[in-house]
Amino acid sequence: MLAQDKKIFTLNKLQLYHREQALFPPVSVQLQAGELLVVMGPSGCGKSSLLAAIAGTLAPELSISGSICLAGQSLQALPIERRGIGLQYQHDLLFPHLDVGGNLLFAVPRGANQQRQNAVAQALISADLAGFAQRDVATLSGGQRARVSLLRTLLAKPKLLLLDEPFSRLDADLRQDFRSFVFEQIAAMSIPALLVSHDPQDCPANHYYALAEGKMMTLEKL
Amino acid sequence: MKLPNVLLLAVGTALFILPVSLGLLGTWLPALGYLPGMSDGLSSQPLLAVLAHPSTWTSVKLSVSSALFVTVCSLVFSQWLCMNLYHRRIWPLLKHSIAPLLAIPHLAFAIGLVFLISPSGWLMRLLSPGITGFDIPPDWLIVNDNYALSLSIGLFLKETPFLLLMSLAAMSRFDHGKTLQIAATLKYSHRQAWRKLIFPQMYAQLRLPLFAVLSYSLSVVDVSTVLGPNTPATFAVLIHQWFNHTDISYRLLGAVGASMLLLIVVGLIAVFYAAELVVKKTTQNWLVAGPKISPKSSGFEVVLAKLSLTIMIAVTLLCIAALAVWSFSRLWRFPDALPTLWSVEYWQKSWQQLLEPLQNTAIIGVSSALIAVFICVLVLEWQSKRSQLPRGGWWIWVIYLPILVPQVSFLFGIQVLMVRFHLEGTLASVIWVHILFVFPYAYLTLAQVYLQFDARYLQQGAILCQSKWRAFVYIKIPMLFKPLAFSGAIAFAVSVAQYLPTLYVGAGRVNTVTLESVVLAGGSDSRISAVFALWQFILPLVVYIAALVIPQFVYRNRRGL
Repeated sequence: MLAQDKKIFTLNKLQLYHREQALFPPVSVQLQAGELLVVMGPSGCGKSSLLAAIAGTLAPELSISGSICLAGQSLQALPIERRGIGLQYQHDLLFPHLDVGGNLLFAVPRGANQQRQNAVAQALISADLAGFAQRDVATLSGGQRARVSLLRTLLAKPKLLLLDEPFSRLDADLRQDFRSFVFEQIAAMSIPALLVSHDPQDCPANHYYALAEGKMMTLEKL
Repeated sequence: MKLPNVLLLAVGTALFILPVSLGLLGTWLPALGYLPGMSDGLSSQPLLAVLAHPSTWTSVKLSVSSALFVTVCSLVFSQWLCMNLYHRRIWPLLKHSIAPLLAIPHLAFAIGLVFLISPSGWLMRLLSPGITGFDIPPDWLIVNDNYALSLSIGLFLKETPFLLLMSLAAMSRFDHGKTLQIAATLKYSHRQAWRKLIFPQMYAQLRLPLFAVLSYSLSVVDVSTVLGPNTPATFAVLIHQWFNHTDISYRLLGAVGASMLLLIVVGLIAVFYAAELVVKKTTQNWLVAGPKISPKSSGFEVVLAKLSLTIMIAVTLLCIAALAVWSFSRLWRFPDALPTLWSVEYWQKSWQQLLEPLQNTAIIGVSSALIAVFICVLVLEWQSKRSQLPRGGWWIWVIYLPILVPQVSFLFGIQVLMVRFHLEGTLASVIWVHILFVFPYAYLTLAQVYLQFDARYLQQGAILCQSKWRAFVYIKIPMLFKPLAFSGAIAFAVSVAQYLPTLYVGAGRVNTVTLESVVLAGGSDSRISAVFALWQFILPLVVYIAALVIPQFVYRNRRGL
């Protein structure tokens, strides 16, 4: 029983339809805290739509069946802002009218000012960006932007992290860097995470969920 | 290779900066008492005369208050509509209603509004005698009221669609959809996200259009003659009256007034900048204060926004309908809801009066639009060849210059120069002065699409055609035909609507539909006035429709275009 309780995120027979046509076979997966699931599949198989369905940003022309549960609560009826989900796109979407500190502070829940500032400072240190709070986001490098963006997502204390090809815009060496940064942060936060990708290197373990086939698969070592 | 670029820049300067500067100079010198042939030495006499004139301060107050009302209200209202209606089912209606609303010329709209809301207007007729009990029109001052309220409301109704259009353009410059999604996952409500993230990013793009609205509302003469107060008139109209006073020494007063108006515009723009800084400073903490768990919005505001949008569209349509009904009426006694006798007599009559103005309007409109679009293509082609595009900064200010500087502030100077060199009163000079005002709009509608054109098409074309020039003619121009046609239509519409430039440079010899409409709007026969106002509306409408339909027809089998 105890093991069952740890599975805090479950998808049960989840399917999406466009005009009665299913995009992919039913998805049933369970994740526990700190666990990362990589979802792969050819482009156009509905990877991003799967994330959108979980986050609550699904396009109105798509319909949904099955269930999405996070921490014992069904998400379907909830608006985005009450789902407790962190969303990370390939584009960092830093807000250009706020500085680095402002972008991070924006995500920190309300509370004592000092505490909020500390949370931001801590986050910056964890990303080797100490002292960057006053910087204009336009002056950051690609890798720095990506890290700030992820910090912003995590500072809102999400209960589940969704990553939509977060590495695809970075070039090869930055990608490796940022990838390990993301995995560290997920482990440190101890939350489940779902990562959508088409790059086998994004799998920290050797297995991934193949969306088009509808099952877990193991990477074949070359 | 270098030389033509410099030449092009010089041509741009000569076309826009020089005329405006010369016009300003030609207005400032008389303001200081120097107008060859009338008064030679510098003197403060005209300035003192303006300051002492009994109408001056009331006029200035009226102009400033109505311009501020229009600018602030249309900004707030357009943003409020966007915030509440974004991604609602009514959003496509908002998007699609903008172009038709903008297509209606200010003047035709103003005349229609008079027919709608004046004491003997359509609304009163519909309510009388049943609800109001009136058998004769009440003796109320609804239009031309002393507080310039009807003027302000008329301008507000016309400027809101313009700012909506600019807002949509500003929203397309960044990924507003994903920004809102991210904000939602950070636990912000839609309204909070809009105020803290979307609006601040949009405002940078809205600043110049907003200043254009400000300058326009401060300096508009034709609409103000129709809707604005008479005793005294708004400042721009007062200046215009001074310029055209039978006693020609009043021209010096006009010059002083025109220079003052420019200072007022500059001053108010400075105030807007200062306000922006203050708002930025004071909202700094609020912006990053974190998400607030807000009670679920009742949806009341959304309903109100839907209602307001519907009313705005309905009022505009009613204005046009009022014009149409009047134009076909023969006998329409006061409390009747509709005319008792209908006729096409006034449309037929208008032909005799109209042929010359119609011809002039068409020639001026088509030539200035074609030339303006041609120059636009030259400038944009030159811009697209540079890696560093002078997009923001000084360049955009140069483009906006003729829109931001009040027309009445430099047209007199241009008129003086033209008279001096015997250039006034010809079609060519009127076309030239129209280009000055038409070009910015043509450029602003075309620039983004043109500069985003994928250069690889052109490279492919150049390789296949073996000639850059042929690739340009056979690939780029056809691919951009739709936006080019639309830009030309906008340019034509702007030209048709020009009042002061035609009047000052045409020297009374070049008559257009717009000039005729203003004269007739002050006359006693509503029917002929309605016919002319409708003509002013029909001309640009026909061109708009052509600009939409022709490319669609030409490319009817090309879904990719």
